[in-house]
Amino acid sequence: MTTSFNAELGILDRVDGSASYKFGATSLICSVSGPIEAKARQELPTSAALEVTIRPDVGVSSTREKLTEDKLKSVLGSVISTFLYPRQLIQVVVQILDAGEAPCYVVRELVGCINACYLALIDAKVGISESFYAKCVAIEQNTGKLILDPTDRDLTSSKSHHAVCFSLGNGKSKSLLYSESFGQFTEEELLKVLDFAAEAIEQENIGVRKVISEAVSNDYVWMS
Amino acid sequence: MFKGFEVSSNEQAFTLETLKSGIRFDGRKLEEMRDIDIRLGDEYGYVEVRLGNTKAIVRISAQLAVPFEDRPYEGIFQISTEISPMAGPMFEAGRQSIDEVLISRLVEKAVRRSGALDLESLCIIAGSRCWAVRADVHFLDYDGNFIDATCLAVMVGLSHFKKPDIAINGEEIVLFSTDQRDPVPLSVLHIPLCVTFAFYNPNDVEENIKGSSSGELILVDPTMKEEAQSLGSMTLTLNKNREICQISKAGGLPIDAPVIMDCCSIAYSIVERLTEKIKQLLKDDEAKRIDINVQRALSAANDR
Amino acid sequence: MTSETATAANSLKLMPDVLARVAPDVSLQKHLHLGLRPCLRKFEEFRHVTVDKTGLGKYETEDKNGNILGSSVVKSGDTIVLCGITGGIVEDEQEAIDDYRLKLEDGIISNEETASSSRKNATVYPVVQIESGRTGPPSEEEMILSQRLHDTLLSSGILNTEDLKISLSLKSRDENGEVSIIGPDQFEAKKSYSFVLYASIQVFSRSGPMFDLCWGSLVAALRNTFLPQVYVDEDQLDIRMPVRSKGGEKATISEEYKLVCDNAKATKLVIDESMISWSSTFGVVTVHSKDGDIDMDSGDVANEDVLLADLEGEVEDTTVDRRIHVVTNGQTLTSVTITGGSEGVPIPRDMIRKAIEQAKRRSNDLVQKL
Repeated sequence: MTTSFNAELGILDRVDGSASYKFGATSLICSVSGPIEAKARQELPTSAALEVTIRPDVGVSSTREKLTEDKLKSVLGSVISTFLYPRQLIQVVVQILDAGEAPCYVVRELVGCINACYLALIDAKVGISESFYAKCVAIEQNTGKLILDPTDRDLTSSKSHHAVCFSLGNGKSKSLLYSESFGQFTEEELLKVLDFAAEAIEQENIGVRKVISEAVSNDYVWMS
Repeated sequence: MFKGFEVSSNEQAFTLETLKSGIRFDGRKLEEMRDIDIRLGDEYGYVEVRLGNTKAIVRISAQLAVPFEDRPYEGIFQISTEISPMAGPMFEAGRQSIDEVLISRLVEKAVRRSGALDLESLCIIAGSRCWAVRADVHFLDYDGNFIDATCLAVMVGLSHFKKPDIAINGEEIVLFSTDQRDPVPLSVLHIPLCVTFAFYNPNDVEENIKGSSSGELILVDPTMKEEAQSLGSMTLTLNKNREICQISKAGGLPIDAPVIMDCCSIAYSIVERLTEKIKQLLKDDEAKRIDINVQRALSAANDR
Repeated sequence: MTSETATAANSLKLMPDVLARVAPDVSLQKHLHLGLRPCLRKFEEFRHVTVDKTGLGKYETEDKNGNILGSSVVKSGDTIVLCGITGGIVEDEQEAIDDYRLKLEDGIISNEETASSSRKNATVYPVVQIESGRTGPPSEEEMILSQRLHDTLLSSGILNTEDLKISLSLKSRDENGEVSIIGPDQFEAKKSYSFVLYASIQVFSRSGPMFDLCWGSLVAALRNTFLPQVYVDEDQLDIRMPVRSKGGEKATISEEYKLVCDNAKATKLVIDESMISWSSTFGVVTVHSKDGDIDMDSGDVANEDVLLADLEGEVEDTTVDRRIHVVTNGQTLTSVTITGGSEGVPIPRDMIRKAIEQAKRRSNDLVQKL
């Protein structure tokens, strides 16, 4: 199977962890700094605070990015072991380089953000309780066929689009971390999409693991 | 220079000593710029620039807009330079630091005010339609001298970018997609480039002000560490026609006027070399694209 | 029972509201063990919702003043949500009308795409304000709510760009001052215009997640929104000034049409009635076996997941992370968002099914009311 994505870890020097992630026309860079000192208003007594910033490829950030930040935060909040770093801050920045979809959609962007964050968190060695990965799916208008990683064109001709994120254990998709669906669809279709995405995530995880193990072996090259 | 980054006095003394003997940490000469790596994207107007470890990405975009009322014959050109914590945790998200304002002001002066982009050529129908060109600068990694890197990236971006072709049909504007008509480049009048100098004083203050010897040390293209220890900096903007577009030296160490003249000639040789490099790069890119287009045309012919 | 009171006597005694503040998770568990929620509702019980007209709209009342085109008020519990729709007129984007596909250079590109892309889902631009006695820039919650309403409406298909297009009439005056109106079928305007709708939503006495009620008020307000008839005033029609631009090409400055909105004549905003939907938010909570302390006798009491409908109050708002959020018209789903699940506390499939089923039932009940 040809890999449908390109990823690279540790591309930036000034932050603790970074990753670039590209799938189809969508490409972005994520950086993670943490645990670092939190500002007084961010500080939480028992766990780490999470600061998520998403910067659009063109133009200044607006409420659109705020909402995506909120979604990303809800995913990261449930996987990062925040209790390990009380009163500290974990700073996540995602820079979109190419959204790869019309501005009225955010699926590709969100999926890219989640996956880039996963890789950057690993590069930053921030404690996470489980692996996770996301995929987007669209349902075709007429045929009802499921399209994995829909392009901008696929999205405009689809009747609904979905972003699904699963946690991974032993190479298998385990529990649903996040899912959002917009458009017109039925319950059966939604459940089908979830299963379909879970399987796609398992498949792609093989490639992702390769990228990670390469990066990690590079990091520990001094040991051998 | 930036809050949260401090250098110990031992290191400072050491740096000064090495600089006195004409050596820099990264093995450069005092008047040498770091290697510049410019990469052009598949899309027009997408440029990645690396200046040593300083990295920035510029995206140029254009859309139709209504011109400003007081300037009906001109298009709109905006540069957005916002530094996120991605460039380094010392930058705060959503709040502009003083240095950030300084960078955006300097780039603005260097590119916009020097008239690098012909705004009148962006006018489509006076008073009602024009092109609005945007340069979004994304800073990825900070190791000193954002200004030079940004200015260079914006200028390469503008020279590389092509906007969709249009036709005016009375009052109607017809936009053509790239596969229908070749997009047209922007009219870039000249390529102003910035060169930043950092100043150090190996002697005491008295010698610097009263003394007749101008013993101040001058570095080109300081890294973050060098920036943090410098006593002042100056940014010159020149183009290859030997014109100075902008000089900015905001306070700091007093420098003799003739020394600044020397700086100008150093900057000129750097700018000349860089301009050549940019021209070559754009030419190669153009050739590559034509190659691809020819191939596509051939394969299309084969299909039939 | 006796052993419980005995241990309680030794430990700290807290009033229920104090406990809810200092240890909301404990408070929630204590309530759930009783089969109740902190708001004293049953697990899957919704709050009663009333939807009313406000009578504030310009075309709802006798005096045709103000600029509110439609409005609604939604009440549920202590919470009141007010929504007002206002509008503006924008010239359609040049790219849209002069799309190269419409001006084909002899059919280089097929026309099929144009047909499908002309009818697109439209949306409004909502601004949510949650009254909290605070002034200043909008809070994060308000921004997120506004954007979510915007996104959900866009994908719901309730509004369509075609229905926001203005069909212009020409108002002309002869020398006697007699006004005659030439309808859109005879008068062909050079430029085309569309309405843009803005929604201003105000929330009073917020209790728990606000999306459901905001969505309800937005849809209800859109349902009784009227769009005015728009005329072109002949006096200012099409003024042209030839201008020589520097390039030597001849260009013209063209004056905008002067558009006049009729104060009396208005048509109801066309919305897709079949797509009208209601939004429901559910929480998923694990009820721990009694009190979590070691109880040998009932050691087999398994942790059980329950679904809480229509989250309310501070305790549920802060402690329930796992949420299922469904927007549906009763048959098909418009939006489903599932958040907060993780390895330790997953969201089971049957919970998703159950939530969707409940949301559909709820939607069928409420959609007529909107």
